[in-house]
Amino acid sequence: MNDSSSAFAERIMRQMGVLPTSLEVVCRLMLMLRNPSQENEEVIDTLLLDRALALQVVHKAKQKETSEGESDSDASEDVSTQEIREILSRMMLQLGYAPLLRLVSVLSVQKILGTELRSYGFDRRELWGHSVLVAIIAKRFCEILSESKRENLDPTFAFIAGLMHDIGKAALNPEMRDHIGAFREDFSEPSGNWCHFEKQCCGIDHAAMGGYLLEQWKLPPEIVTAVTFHHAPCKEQKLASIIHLADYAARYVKPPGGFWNLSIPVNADSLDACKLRLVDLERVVIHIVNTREEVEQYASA
Amino acid sequence: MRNSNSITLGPSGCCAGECEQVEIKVNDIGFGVCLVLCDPELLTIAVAHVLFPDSADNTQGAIQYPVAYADTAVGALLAQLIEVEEEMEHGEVEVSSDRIQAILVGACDLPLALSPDTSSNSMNLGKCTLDNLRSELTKSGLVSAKELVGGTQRRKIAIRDAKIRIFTEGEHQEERSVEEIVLRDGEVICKNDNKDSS
Repeated sequence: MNDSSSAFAERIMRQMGVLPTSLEVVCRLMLMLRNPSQENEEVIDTLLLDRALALQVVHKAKQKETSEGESDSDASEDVSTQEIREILSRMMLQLGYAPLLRLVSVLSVQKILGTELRSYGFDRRELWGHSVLVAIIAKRFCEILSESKRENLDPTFAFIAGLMHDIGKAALNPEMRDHIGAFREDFSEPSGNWCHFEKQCCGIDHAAMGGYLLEQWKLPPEIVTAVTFHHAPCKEQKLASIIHLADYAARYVKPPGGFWNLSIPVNADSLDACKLRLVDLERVVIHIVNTREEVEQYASA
Repeated sequence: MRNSNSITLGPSGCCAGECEQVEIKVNDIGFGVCLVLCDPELLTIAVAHVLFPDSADNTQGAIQYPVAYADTAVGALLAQLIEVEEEMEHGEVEVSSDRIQAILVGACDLPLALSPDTSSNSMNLGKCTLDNLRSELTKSGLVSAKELVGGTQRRKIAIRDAKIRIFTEGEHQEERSVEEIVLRDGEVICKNDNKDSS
């Protein structure tokens, strides 16, 4: 990042404010995930740092238990802290730690990505739906690599990187508004793509902006790198390659909406970089389009 | 139209029926290819949303979802259409694949890869799927009545009352009716309603 784009990123960062508490919880939980002797009580204490977030998790648990499927966060507001602890403890035993972390990430990030992004042509929840798809596909890629003993990449980290891969678009959206008309012609060119366009407007593209934000928010370096380079991963950046391919594969499940969003350059070298094969990509896409439960579960969180 | 049977097809899905008894929609056609087979004489239609070019590495997947792959989609969809025709009242008109024509929609272009080389072409799955579908149609002796392929904008199809309407999004996602295809008097009639066909 050069001086001017760095200054720009800092200004955007200031506009976005401090790290949302819920994301701070996600960061802490990610670090805990790596500790094999992690105590459940500490995880619950961390979740309770953001009581609203903990209540949302509890509400999801109650929804699942009653299978009502209604989204009404107020319904859980009367729950006592002790009840929250008990429910979270039960969830951890039933779900396991990694799925709980994924749910917490989803509840945390959707506030940022679920809004309408006019400069990019995303209706409300369109970018959110795409981010959830990329997260699920990236997680599944890692599971396939692990099951076939080709590569060992953390599926939950892949999920979170996938979920946040376009967070830079939410940050750049207000800046892009004034420039959108000027660059329409660029997209008629075969090489036209958002990164090029964003650099011309803001001196930084959404991938670098997203990486910068996550770095400032102290997310793990693997996730920062994966988000920063998800449009141009090099051979050594395995998680970035996973996100690059998941971003492409998600467009088969559902084109993401927004302006020019099928105009995405794909680098075939990413397959080798993370030891995936095209057939893996095809299988994951076909599985997801025919079994929508996981997507619905997270997208409607 | 009785409108008794309205179907929205998702990726790797398919359906077949009599034109006047089914309403079919296919939304969000991007890199995949929508294959439509139609018989203008008996007014039957079959639609599939094909995703990938070749099932050779995933034969199990092709058994479960035959229209997901270009190499198995044409045969599977044709069989469904013929089955519909055999089950319907077809009077003196013989059931035959000779009259059946194809329409192909989708296969959005993938922009140049960051480091273009020969292997990058393998990622252009939409184009490979389209090429394989064309080849399979030829092998099956089917004529392609219309292709609306390429570009970088999403498309959707709505089929109702023996009319096939294909919409392509504009640069700001506004819908533009690009093409209307009508099955009438034993013919497939393509009416270009203007604007830009890719």
